[in-house]
Amino acid sequence: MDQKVDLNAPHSMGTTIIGVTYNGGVVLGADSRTSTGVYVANRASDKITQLTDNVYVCRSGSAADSQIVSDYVRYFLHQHTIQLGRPATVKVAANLVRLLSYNNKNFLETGLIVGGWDKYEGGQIFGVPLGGTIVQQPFAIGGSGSSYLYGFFDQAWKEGMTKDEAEA
Amino acid sequence: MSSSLDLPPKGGFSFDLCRRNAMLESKGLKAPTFLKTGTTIVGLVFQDGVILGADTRATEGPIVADKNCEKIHYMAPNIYCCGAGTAADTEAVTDMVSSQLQLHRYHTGRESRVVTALTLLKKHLFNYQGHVSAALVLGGVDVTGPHLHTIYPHGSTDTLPFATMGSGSLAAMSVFESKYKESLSRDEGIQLVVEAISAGIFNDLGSGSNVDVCVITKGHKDYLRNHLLPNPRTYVNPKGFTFPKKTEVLLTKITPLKEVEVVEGDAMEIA
Repeated sequence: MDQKVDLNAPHSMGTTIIGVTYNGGVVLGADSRTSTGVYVANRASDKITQLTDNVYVCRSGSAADSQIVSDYVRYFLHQHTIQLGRPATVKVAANLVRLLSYNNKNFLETGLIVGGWDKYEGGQIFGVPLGGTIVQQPFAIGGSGSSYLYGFFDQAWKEGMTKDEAEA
Repeated sequence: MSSSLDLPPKGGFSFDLCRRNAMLESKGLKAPTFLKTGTTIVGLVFQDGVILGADTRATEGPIVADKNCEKIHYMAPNIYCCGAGTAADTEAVTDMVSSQLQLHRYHTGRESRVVTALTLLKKHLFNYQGHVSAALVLGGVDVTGPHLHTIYPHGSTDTLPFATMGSGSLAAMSVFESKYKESLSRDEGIQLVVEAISAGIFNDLGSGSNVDVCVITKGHKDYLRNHLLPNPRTYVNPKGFTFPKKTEVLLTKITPLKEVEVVEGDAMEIA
């Protein structure tokens, strides 16, 4: 079917998001464009959102859905941190994201990459794509622009990079 | 036996005509589309606060329903919100959140913050999954400083130094992108907002008439209603309207309303 240009399309983020571990932590990256159909609604959006001091999440997919999910997770993590008495681990954060994504899979359209550092496991990256799977990976890519990167990462990725190599 | 009694309306949506509508649509009848405001609304942050701007045309499809409507809605003494999309939705949602903010002010005893309004609006719009068609530009100055946010009908928000929404947003954004800079003065800011809205008014069919501006600074606001009127009625007949000869009056009879007598009832019984 031919596509019609729809300025009232839901506000979605055609996106590229990346999370990479290196020896010492993680590096998260994202582009900054939010589009509604073909119109660029925000050219300076911040797709890397803070969940706690040491855990961040890269958002892709529907802007509204990913903002709501990260708001809820930030709230639950805050409660969890108070109850636990210690900083939350990245695994807990990622699992909270996964629970919300999986249990509401019929209503949400958002792919997230949770990355952070805790003192037990060091730097970790968890991918939580559309259906609500959770998979820990040494590096993760997501968003509609990520298809172009599979080849690049295949060739360029190696274990145990330094921070500068990872950022490059 | 079919009931011929008229049951009192039970409230809620009446599904009686749905089958008929479906039948008509299958026969090829095009259903009427939603009525949107078709608007240009803008906001920008300047050195002392925020400036919001809006056009004043409300459309019903191709017809201008209101030539001078108010699109900058009051939320709190220090927070205003411009609304684009379905007029009823923007009015209802801003009124509702404005009341919630006032109750919150009574509870907390403090001036409302822009992020509070933002979260209330965002939660409401997300819950309705985009069916409440309200696209808003929310701006204000609170204890944490000046803030400007855009809120989309599906519930996503953006925080920006300058923002445009509505059908004229492309025209207005082009003005902002070329001329915006940090730390504008008040006059420069108003000038830029007026230029952006004018671009929307003249280049977009859904926007028109006059320019409204609202300047919010710490502790003070200026609601400049009809700041610019670039579309006056060019020819006004000095004689006013005249009508041809009326129908003849045959009989005039005046019946005054009866005098209503108020009678003191019995004193209230106190058990």
